[in-house]
Amino acid sequence: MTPERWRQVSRIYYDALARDSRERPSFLREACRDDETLRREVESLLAQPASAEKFLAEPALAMAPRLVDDPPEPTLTGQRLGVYEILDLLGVGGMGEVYRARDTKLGRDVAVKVLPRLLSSEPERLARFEREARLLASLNHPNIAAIYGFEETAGVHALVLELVDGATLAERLQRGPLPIAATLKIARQIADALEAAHERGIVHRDLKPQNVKVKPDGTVKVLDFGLAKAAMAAANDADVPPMSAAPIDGTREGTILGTTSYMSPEQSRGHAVDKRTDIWAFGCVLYEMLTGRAAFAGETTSDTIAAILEREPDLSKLSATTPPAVRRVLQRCLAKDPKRRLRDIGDAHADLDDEGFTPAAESRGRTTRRALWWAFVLAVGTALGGAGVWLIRALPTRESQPSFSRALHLTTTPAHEFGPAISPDGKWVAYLSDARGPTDVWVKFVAGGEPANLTASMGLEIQVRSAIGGLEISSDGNSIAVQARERGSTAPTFDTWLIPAPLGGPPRKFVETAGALRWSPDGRRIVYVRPGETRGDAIVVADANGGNPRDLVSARGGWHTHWPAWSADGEFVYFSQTIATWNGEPSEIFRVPASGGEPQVVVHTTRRALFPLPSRAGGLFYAANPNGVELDLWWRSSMRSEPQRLTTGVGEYGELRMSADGRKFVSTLIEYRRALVSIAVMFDRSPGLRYLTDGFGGDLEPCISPSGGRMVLSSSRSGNRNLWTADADGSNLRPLTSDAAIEERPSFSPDARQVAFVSDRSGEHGIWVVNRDGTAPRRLAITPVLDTLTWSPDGQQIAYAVPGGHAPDLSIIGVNGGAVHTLVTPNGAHSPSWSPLADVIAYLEPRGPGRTYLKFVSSRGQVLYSTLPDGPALTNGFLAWAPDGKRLAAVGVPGSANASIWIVEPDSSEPFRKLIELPGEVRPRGITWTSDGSSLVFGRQEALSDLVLFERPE
Amino acid sequence: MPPFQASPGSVTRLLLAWRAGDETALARLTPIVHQELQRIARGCIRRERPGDSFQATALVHEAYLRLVDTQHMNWQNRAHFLAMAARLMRRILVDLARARQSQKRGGGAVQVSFNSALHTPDKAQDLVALDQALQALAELDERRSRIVELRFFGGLSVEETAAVLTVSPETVMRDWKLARAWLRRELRK
Repeated sequence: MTPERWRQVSRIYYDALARDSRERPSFLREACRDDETLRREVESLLAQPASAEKFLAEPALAMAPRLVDDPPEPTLTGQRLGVYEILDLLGVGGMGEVYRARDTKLGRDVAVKVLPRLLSSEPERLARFEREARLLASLNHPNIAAIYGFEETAGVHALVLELVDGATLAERLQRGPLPIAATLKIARQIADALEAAHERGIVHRDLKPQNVKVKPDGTVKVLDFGLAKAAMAAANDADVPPMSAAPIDGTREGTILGTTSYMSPEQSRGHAVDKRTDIWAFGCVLYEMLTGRAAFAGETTSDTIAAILEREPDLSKLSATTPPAVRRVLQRCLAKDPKRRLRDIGDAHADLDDEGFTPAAESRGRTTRRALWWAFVLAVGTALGGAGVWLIRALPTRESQPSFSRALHLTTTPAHEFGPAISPDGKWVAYLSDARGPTDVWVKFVAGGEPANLTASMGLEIQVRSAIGGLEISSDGNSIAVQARERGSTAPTFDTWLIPAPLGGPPRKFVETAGALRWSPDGRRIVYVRPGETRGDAIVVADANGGNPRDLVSARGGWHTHWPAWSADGEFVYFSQTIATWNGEPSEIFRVPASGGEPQVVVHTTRRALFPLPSRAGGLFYAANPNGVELDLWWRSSMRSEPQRLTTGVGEYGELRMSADGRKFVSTLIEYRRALVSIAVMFDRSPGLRYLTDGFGGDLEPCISPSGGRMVLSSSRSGNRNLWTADADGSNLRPLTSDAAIEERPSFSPDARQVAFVSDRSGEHGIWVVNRDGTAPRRLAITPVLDTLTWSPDGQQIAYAVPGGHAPDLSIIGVNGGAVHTLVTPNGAHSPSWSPLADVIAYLEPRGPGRTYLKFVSSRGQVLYSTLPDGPALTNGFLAWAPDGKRLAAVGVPGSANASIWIVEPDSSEPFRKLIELPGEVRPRGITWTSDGSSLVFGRQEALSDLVLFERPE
Repeated sequence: MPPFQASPGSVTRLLLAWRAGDETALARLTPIVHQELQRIARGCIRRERPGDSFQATALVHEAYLRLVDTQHMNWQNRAHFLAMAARLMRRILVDLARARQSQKRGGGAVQVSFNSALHTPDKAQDLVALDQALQALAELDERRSRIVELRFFGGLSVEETAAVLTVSPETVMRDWKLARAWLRRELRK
């Protein structure tokens, strides 16, 4: 066939395909006219059975197992390698084939290990390997299989090893556990071998039952000492950076799990290993001898690694007759933190000797080791007692409550990882991270390996916060949706872009001005947030291609609507809503029929309920803090059922996402550092930051009294979020309130005798006033308060912002009379700050995404400083007048960029000057001036977040 | 037993060398990729349900991520890389299949036929036959043959394939359909 003919065929083929099958014959007759061959050609292409749809649908790689899995044919049998006559194949290991051979010179049988081509084909690597092998050959110990030499003949490189007859320990263990006496006898010899090697600085690195042989006379020989390292070292030549991953490979030598089960936690994390890794492996082998089962095992490599990292070995499997000293050795060998692990294999030896099998124990210097042992026990006890390690409730308290069978940290870097999504098959996670500096989309496979950065070279600027909704993965797993804009764009809004997944590729703009996109479970619809910042967010539902959009939840001034999530049946869209910027208190969970209708409260609270995630069977996962200040994961099996807490411990859990089968979850675990920080107001040199508090007390929202004598702040150092007072330098802290409540945004009256604040102490949000000595607390109003409270200069009124209409408005309430009136502003207002000297209220005017500007008005509604230019966008920001009434501190916390602090001098020729820009994960909360106007103190909230993976049993 | 795992950087360099015409680079790449395939194979046997194409795709991606330093590539480079990786996979898999075939050949004649019940060639000879048919297709229609190479041997999605060939995903879908129909017919002849 000619290419022209083929083009003709394909054209008619497509035309025919576009037609109904009944019309095709007549179409073909017409299209091909009297060219019978052409017609038959097209017909034969069209005549594919339905099953042809699946033809080649699975990548060729799927058949790779069948192609590569058979061991290669032994090729050296019967040949001669130097003085060695190759007899038969003993086995095939990860490193290559092992043969039994006859040393014709010395007249003994040896084992010959043929090196794989990858190693032997590179002279550099080979030399390195040889050097290592020579070091190993110097090990001479009755319990270590010797290396006799290194042989090279006709391009075949091989190690010549001591041939050890007898079964491997793995083979013995297939028949079940060993008796205690036999176990200890073997264990002692392994310990002897390790001790001798460790004294010479040689680490085995791959100790496992397959590498331990027990000769018929009971002598133990440890095989392959240090070969793992020699091989690694050989691979690490100068132009090849060190491998990050520890051996993930299984071996072929007949075990189910190969090496993975005996890997130490530091090894499985890819960290450097030392002799303590052998001590861990020794513990694993000891456990296996005692119980007949692996100390750490899972069905898959990643499960096994998870068990190694997170689970304690099940000591209940030990026989009741196991001596306590042996149990102790086990626990000490299997301490996850190498620093807490047994330091020296000799110590284990001493304890094993205690059981009376080696009378010569005295010579081993037991006294010192005992002392070490006690020091060790005390150290571990203290560490565990004091550690705020998060714990997952393992046992369900009721049938329907999900339990997580395992949990592991997916990321542990110092970078900020957040906004995750998990692939439908649960195999990989996409997330946002600033590991490179700017925020990027990264992908990491759950099974291991290095994370890949998908957006570093893409020309996109990625959202730096995930408050609206984080990432999303399409239901076919082929796309990641991310909020972004083209780099260098000055557009105030971010759009949703799609990136091919999981490998990355050219991005495509998908929906304009949209975030938190979520595909419906059937993949036919999308829902997303059209962000409006303080003017309010809308939730929009549309067809999967973005067409036919309609508002499901319309924008209302001051209301932030975030994190939409489809119910499993696609009938409802759940979401969270709050008037506080950045998902603060109060945030509640609602749902709305996806076809339209009235939103309905699902989780009602005066605190926070966020990140709804409907389960597959009608339950709901979410994050909440009904009794505390930090979010935990919660679960409700139905709208009416009692909520159950799923997590405890230090840190805030949020952003929970689930795989399609509902078994794998990823969540963000945030630890906050909240400190009061002082910054000098100066522009000629770098304004030094000084920490007034250490970050662990949850200190926020400072307000220094006009006279400078005292500061009031909101702090969670007691476990509740209450008001505290301190000296202006942060010292001399004293509680002002102590209710089991969330109390924040304190503001001193001008005479510093009273403090106004926002509290939920009566079960509803409202404005409260308390005397500075903590007496006479009284509620001024039950009202939602968007952000700051500010006193009039005469101390008679308080201004604040409330949600409303298209934008929030300012309200003014009399402190003694209680009358409320709305202050009319041209375009809505929030974050008021009343000048301490005049009737000038500075406020922020929200004009839509990325466009929030500083404005001024009098309490009678007169617009002031109307000629002042707009200045910087102060999105999600707040303000504070300086005591001199001439300058303001203005903070902007945009969703798309780092927070910054500005000094504004309305009467100056250069009214707006940036004082400092803060790192991306830092969010200022509350700002105040020192009484001399030389410095600012602000609440610095820094989120340190990692990703955690949970799994639910079937 | 560990691991002569190659670092992503060295594989990338070898791939580039291969593209530049250095056939010895292929010889050095093959054992690395071969080992990665074995790793995947073991993983498959232990944990995968057979016939789950999504999982297979994820495996391919996982393999690429492990082999290649995609982090330090921009995506145009990445498209080139994906194309090369697909070709590499084809070379290696077909070579493996050929080796397998000759191993098993013994005295009997080899039946070169496609088992219609299977969606992915199951037997080594099927893969060899597919490779031959694909060569025939390339003579007729280079682009459609490349699409099969990228999609089937490279494990690329429609979007990735479109990016590599700088055509629209719709074109890829159309071409893919015709190419498969043609190949299937050829193999059943």
